[in-house]
Amino acid sequence: MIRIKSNQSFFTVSRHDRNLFLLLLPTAVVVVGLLLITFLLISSRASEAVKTYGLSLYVTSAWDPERERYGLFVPLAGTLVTSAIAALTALLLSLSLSIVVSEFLRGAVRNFLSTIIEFMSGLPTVIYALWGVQYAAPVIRDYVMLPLHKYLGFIPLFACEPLSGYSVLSAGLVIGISIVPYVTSLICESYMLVPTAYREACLGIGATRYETTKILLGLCRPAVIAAVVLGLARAMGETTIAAALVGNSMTISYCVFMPSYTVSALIAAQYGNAQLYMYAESVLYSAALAILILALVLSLTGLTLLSKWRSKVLA
Amino acid sequence: MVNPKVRKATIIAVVLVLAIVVLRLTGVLTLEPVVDVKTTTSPTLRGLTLNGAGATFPYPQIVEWVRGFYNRSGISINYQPVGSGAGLSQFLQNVTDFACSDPPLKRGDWEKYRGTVMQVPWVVGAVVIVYNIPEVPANYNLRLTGEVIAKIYRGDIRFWDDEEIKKLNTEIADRLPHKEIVAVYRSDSSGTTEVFTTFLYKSAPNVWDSKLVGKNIEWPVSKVGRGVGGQGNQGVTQVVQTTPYSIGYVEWSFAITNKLQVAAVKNREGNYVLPSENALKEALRNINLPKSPLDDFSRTLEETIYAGGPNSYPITSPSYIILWRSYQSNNKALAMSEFLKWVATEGYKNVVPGYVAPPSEVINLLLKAAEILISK
Repeated sequence: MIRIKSNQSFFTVSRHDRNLFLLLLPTAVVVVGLLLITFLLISSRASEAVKTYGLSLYVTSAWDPERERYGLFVPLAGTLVTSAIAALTALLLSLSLSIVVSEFLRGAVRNFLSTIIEFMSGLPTVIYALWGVQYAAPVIRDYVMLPLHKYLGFIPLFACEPLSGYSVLSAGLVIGISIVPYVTSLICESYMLVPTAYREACLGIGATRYETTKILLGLCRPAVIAAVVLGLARAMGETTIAAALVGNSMTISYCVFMPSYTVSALIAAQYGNAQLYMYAESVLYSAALAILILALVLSLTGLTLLSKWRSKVLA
Repeated sequence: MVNPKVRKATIIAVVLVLAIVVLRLTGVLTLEPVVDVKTTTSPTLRGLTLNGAGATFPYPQIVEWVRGFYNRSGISINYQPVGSGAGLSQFLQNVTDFACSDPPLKRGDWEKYRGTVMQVPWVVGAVVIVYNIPEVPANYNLRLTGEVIAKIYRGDIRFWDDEEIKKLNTEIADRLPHKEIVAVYRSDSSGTTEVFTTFLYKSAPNVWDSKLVGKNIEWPVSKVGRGVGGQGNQGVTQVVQTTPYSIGYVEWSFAITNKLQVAAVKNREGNYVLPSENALKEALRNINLPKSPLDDFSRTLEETIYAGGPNSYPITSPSYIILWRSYQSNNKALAMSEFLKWVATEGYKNVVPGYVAPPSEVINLLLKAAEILISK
C-alpha cells in the first residue's frame, strides 16, 4: 500500500502518484473551467440585448420577435412566484416526511421509505411533467383551485376565477413535489446529525416525542432554511414541468390561478427559432443570465448556512 | 452462493434478450429480409442519403413517403422536423439539401435566389379550430366565423354563451354554458400560427390587425389572463383536452388522431364548412398557382387562405418543398429528381389522414421541377 504524507510536496511523491495526479488533473480542471466558461459565454451573448434594450428589458414585458420588442418582467416575476410556491410546498411536505422517517419509523419500513425517496429524487422531471399535464392540472383545478377560490376568495391570491389547470399554482405545486426528495434528504441528514446527547437530555427530563421533535427541529432550523433555499434554487431552473404547466402566457398577476411564464419555459419554447430574429437569442441569454446569477446566489447562501450550522452542531 | 461469473453471464443474457424483444416490438429490428428493392434507379444512387429539414406540419406525410421511396429506390431521406423557419435557414446555408416550409419564400428572399431556388406546394393540409365544451353534443359541430374567433383571441368575447356565438348556433343556443373561454395558442414559433393569424386578418380585418399576423405574436387574450400556450401541436392538443371550455387551433391530422371536436368555419361565400378532402381541394382549385416552380409563390399563402368557392375550407394551407435547381453532386440531383417524380406518380396514392393530394396543377409543378433539376 502506498502512503502519502500530507506534507509531501508534488515533486517528492512517488512517480506513480504524480502520474495519477497529472492524469486526473485535466478532467477536474475541465469541470471547474466549464462553469466559468458558461458564465462568460452567457454574459457575452446577453450583452448585445442588454446594450440595445437597457434596463427596460428587465422591467417591461413583451415577446414580439417579429417586431423585435422584448421585455422579460413577466417570465422573471413568474419564475420567482412559481419557485416560491414550489419551495413552500416542498417545505411542508418534506418536513412531515423527514419527521415521519427519522422519528417514527424503524427498521425495514424506514429503509423501504428511504429507498423510495432516493429513487424519487432520481426520477427524470419529464415524468412529473407528463403526469402534471395529464392528471395533476385538471385535478388541481377541480380540487384545489376551485375550493380555494370558493372559500378563501377574499384573499387577493385566490381572488380570480380559476379557468384552466395551467397556472402559476399548478406549476409551483408540481415543481414543489418534484423537489421534495431533495429537500427531504437534506433535512433528514441534518436531523440525524444532531448529537444524541440532546435527544437523551430531552428524554431524561421526561419530554414526550412531540416535545423532543420540537426541540430537535428547533436545533435544525438553520439547516431546514438552508434546505429550502437550495430547493428554491433548484425549482428556479426547472424547465420541463414549468413549460408544461405554467400556461406560457405573457401575463402576471397577484392571483396564483392565472397562467404566466417562467424563464426556463420561455427559453424552452423560443430558443428553437430564436436565431431567425435579430435579438431574440440574445434576449433569451440575458434571461438565462438573470436566473443563473439568482440561482448562484441562492445556492451559495444555502451551502454557507448549511456548513456553518454543521460546524456549530458538531463542535 | 451463485458463482459471480455465472451471475454476470446470466445478467448479460437477460439484458440481451430484453433488448432484442424491445427492438422487435418497436420494429427497429426486423428479422424478415428487407423487401427486395424493385429499383428503377441506377445502382449508383442506392445507399445515397438526402437531407431535409423544416416544417412539422407535413412531417407525418413525409415519413410515410420516405419509407415508400426507400423501399422502391434504396435512396434514404433524412427529414428533421425543426420548424419552417429553422429548416429554411439551414437550407439556405447549405446545411441540408431541401427544406419544407408552411409559408413560401418571402418575395425578398425569392428575388435574392431567383432562378436558383424552386418551390412546390406539395402537401396540402388545414388548420382546424378545436374546442372542448362538455355541454355541446359530440355529434354537433360548433359553427364559428373568423370574426368571432378573432374576438375570442382578442379577449373581446368572454363567455361561450355570448350573443354572437349563440346567433351562429341557434339549435344548441340554450346549451352553451356561461363559462369563460380559455383560448389556447402555440407558445413556440410556428407556421401553423402564421396560417391561423393570416386567416383571422383576412376574414376579419376590422377586428384582427395586420400587426397580429406572424409565426410568433403577442396574443391580446393572454393580457387578460384567458390565454394558455402549448408547445407544438401536441401541447395545444393536450391543453384543449384537459381544459373544459377551451378553444384552440391545430393541424387537422392532430384533431383526427386525438378525436377532438372540430368547428365548422364560415368561408368567403358564407357557408360553414368542416375540413374534408373535397373542401380542401376546392380551396386550392380557386387560386391562381404560378406556372413554374421557379416563380414567386409569396402571394399563394394569402390566396389559399379564405379562398373562394362555395364549399372550400377557409383555413387550407399547402406546405412547400423548397429545393435548389442545381446541386453540386450529380447523384444528388438525380436522386432528388427521382424522389419528386415518385411522389407525383406513386406518393399521392398513399396520403395520410389529415392531408390531401394537391390538384393536378401541383403534380405538374412537381414533375416540372424534377425535369429541370440539374447538376452543376
